[in-house]
Amino acid sequence: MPERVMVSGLGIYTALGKGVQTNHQQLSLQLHGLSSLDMLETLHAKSFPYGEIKETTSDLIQSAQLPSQQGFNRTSALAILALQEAYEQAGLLPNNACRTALLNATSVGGMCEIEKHYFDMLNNPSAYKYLAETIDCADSTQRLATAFGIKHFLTTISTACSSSANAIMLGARMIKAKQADIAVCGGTDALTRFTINGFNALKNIDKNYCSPFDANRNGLNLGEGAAYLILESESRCLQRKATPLAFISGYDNFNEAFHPTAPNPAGEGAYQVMQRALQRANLQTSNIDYINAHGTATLTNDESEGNAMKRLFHNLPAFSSTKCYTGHTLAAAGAVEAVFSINAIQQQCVYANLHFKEAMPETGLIPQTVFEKNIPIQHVMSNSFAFGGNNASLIFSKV
Amino acid sequence: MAPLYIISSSCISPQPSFGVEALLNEMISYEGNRLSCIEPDYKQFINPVQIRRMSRALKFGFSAAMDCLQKVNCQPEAIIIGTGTGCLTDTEVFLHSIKDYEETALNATPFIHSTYNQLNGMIALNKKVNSYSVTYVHRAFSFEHCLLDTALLFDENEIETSLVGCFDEMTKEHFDMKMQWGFWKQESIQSESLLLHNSLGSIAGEGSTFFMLSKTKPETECNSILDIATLFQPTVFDLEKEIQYLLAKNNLQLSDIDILLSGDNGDTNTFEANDFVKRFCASSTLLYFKHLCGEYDTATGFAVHLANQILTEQVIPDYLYHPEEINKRSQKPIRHLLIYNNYFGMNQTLVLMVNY
Repeated sequence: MPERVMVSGLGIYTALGKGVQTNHQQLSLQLHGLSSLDMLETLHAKSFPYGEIKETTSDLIQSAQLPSQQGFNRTSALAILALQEAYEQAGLLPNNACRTALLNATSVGGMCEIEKHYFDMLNNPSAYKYLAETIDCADSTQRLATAFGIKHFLTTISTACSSSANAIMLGARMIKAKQADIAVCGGTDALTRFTINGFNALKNIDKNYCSPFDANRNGLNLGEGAAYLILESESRCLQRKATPLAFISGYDNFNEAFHPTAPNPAGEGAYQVMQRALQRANLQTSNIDYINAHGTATLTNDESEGNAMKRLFHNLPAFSSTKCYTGHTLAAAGAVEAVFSINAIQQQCVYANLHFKEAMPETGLIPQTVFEKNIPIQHVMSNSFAFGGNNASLIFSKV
Repeated sequence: MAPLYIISSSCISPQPSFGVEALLNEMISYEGNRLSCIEPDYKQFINPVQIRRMSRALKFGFSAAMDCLQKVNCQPEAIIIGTGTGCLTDTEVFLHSIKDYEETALNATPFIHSTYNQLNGMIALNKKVNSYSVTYVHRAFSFEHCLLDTALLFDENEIETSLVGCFDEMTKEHFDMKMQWGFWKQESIQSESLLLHNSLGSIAGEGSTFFMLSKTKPETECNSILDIATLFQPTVFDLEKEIQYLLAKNNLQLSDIDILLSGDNGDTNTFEANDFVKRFCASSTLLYFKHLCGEYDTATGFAVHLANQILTEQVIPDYLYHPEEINKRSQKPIRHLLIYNNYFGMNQTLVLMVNY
């Protein structure tokens, strides 16, 4: 039996606020963080609600207290602020001597800054040399690595909306295989005109607050944020007297190969990935106490995920989507929701799904609609499904 | 790590590497510091409707993957792809359309195609592969991490076969910007003489390579990838330590490395590290590959394809030597080959391969 993979630190920054406590508090009060845009300029600023963090990029960079601010963008600043919290909670110092692996995820990387200057850059590249390194997805990862003194292993994963779930999964695998002592996993994405226009072109954004699993749902709301988990083996946790917050008992990645952007309405891929994660965790469906669903509130996702949950679970446990609080934070979503799932274990609570009125006729499923505490939560499942059928499911368990 | 046995390999590059199994007798030399892929007839792999919708990177990436799968008679149990920039053309087209159409009535296709895991999804959809699927997008570690992930899956007894590949394209816009930012040589050169130009910058390239990798050793003669290391901004001391560690892990001596295939891209900024590895592996025959494919995030994919051919054929074409070291031709049997790649200093990697 390989050792258990423990989660010893969490860090998060979303539209609900900075820090695990703040996020939990807002969730428990059923207060969402969605609003029109104030920080990002786009024609669609007032057309839709967004999970925007109400700090300017320069204020974010300031508060990260970096030795040099050259070339830092919103994506990197959010990542650094979230990871600082995770390190603090885990009782780790930057530049620690152990073999630390950084597994980061992003969907558009430095696009937040590049898109503002792109056409000036084409005309006069020399004036924008400071952005040269920020043009891809690796930039934010390398900046995190430099800020936290990580050299042993660093990589970046981009599988659209399941990116950071895959980063967490790789972290768990590397700890199990003893390829790293500490795995820092998560993701970061800033809101960009690029993604807003992309999802708008797909006609996937709701003009109102999104209503996951509701019969009249009409699309997602986009958000931004960053979240990180610190993973390590149980023996290492004991040895350095760190307090584990939860452990990762199951995970799976499964491509459903159905359609370039849409899931199978019957939920075949979602069913498979959840079932395989359960098998790996050696758990029965009855062991799952709460599902933090992918629940984007798009017509297709919620139908597909709902059908899959209904088929897999004979007695469906409490489930909700927390994307109605933070917006869909894309590559960060898997890690953001992993933090919420672990919070549910820590606080023995389930979070409410907002704006739900009427069950989808396809499934008749009713999500958790009120915040509830003092209920025993042993195992939580967290789903992340993506473009290209790139599905992932994680299971977190109480220590 | 578990050895990764190479069952098939397909490569689309600026050289006529596609559709031929053997090493090329001659190389094509390009002028102008930008090497573009020789594109195959896509109709063999893609239906005409899709051809019109897909950008270059998707087309050559998809074709390389399909060709690689057609050579073997099995479904992969994982699809793992590395790309530094994904479908750059689609990203640029979407950026332009946001400006040109002032954020209204946009076509979503370039946006969808700009998503980095697009090729994973297309291959899976086309071949009906329900499997583990991941896209690594970490600059010049992207391809290497696909190999490492596969090795881990083999070690975990999760799978027996994996389709691993990489793709990156260079566009005019991106080339021009990076020219101003000092990535490419300011003077226009002939690619075959890349290593003779002592100046800053390299030459731009692109390409796609796919491999079918197996956990089980095939019965026929074959090659495998024995080990991989990825180093972030290493010092030469870090490099030395890593090479020693790699050799020790695999019970090898420096003298066992018959060939060092160097990813020296001709940029004088990386002279120190390239020179160090060259001197450290002085007993190995020294070969180069960036003058053939140009510099790009996943150029190591091209190098592994080339190395696989060298190991199989036990032949070294003259064009792989440094133009001034052609008299150092080696006739020795080739068993172990080490690829050292250096992407502008920040990402440096080692891939150790062996012929059985």
